[in-house]
Amino acid sequence: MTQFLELLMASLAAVTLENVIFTTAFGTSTLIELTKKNWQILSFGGFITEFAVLSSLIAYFLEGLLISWGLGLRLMPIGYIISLGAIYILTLIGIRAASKKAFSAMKRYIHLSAFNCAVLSVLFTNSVNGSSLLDRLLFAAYTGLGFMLAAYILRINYDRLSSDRVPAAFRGFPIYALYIGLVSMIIYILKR
Amino acid sequence: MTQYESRIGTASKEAIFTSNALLSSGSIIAPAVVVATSFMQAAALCIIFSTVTYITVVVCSYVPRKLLYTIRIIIYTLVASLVYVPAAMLVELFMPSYFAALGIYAPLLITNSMITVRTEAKFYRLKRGYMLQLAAFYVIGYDIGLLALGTLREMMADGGLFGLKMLPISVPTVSSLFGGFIVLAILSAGFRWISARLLRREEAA
Repeated sequence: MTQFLELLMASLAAVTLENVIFTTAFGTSTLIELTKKNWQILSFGGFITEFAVLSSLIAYFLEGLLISWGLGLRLMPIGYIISLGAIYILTLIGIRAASKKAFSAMKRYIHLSAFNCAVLSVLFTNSVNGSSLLDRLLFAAYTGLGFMLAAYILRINYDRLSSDRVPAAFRGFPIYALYIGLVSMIIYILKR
Repeated sequence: MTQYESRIGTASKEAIFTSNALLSSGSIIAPAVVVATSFMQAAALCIIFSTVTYITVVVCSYVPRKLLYTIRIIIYTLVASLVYVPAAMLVELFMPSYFAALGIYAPLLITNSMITVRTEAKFYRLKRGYMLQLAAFYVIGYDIGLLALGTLREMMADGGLFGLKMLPISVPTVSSLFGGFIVLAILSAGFRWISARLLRREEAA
């Protein structure tokens, strides 16, 4: 029970105090783009988590292979793209098999969840840290969940941030960046 | 003014002012707010970004449109990851300490939105000649934004530039992540305000 609680607390800290957006800024542009609609937070957040976890799994084995061939870490980005590409294709096939309607609605946007800084940063960070497979998968899941939480935090005030009362020059991207900066500052203070 | 000059003028105005990738659209934010903390750091990032993005956009403009969209996107990022290798080696050779400070933010540029989004949504819908000019201006526009952000943050955090003291006070937290977001927001708002005024004045003239 104690171990479970410890894991729960560690997971909560990873998603909040080590939040991918508010502590590293990875995927901020994607976050701002996806927060415009409610349904996108859950669906694309879910896909980001899926892409991060599954591509971490493939990248883990690919990394071992590349190192054993003496190709080193310099070529790892190519390995990461191959891992992401494979999961991206499989995901699209899965959605197509499940629902043609969902497939035609999502096919033009789903690559935003696959090929972005947040997902790619998971693969890089895992390599740099030389983590075990389980740690890599957990980190990938925390990153995805953290992204969803950040999207939700932005979404809560989205209507207010997009209102006409915001000065014209600050409307749109500047006010979102300012808001994310302030939340990021709060998290920085809480961590101290 | 010739038709060619007018076309160049329109492309540069769009890419550098009205749709500036960093200051107007807020694209590719992470490297800007985290590692563009000084002029030189921003310059190192600019070299990698410009090389990777422009070469990828040019090379991938030859990818047949008949290929599935899914496959095209994978090819674009694969090409970017290949271009990244010599670009990174070049910066590492001439600016080793600045390259080291970029950390994983440099290789992450292979999935930047100019490659994964703007190619399909904008660049590859245009004629190649004009597209190559427009893409170059978009890259330059982002570089200008990044250098301005890096310079401003260095001035505010260190109270000067290149080690020379110019201001009586300094605000070191400007170099932090939240400082980056806040300075970028203010810089972006200022840039949009000035751009809007200039465009209004031009329309009135």
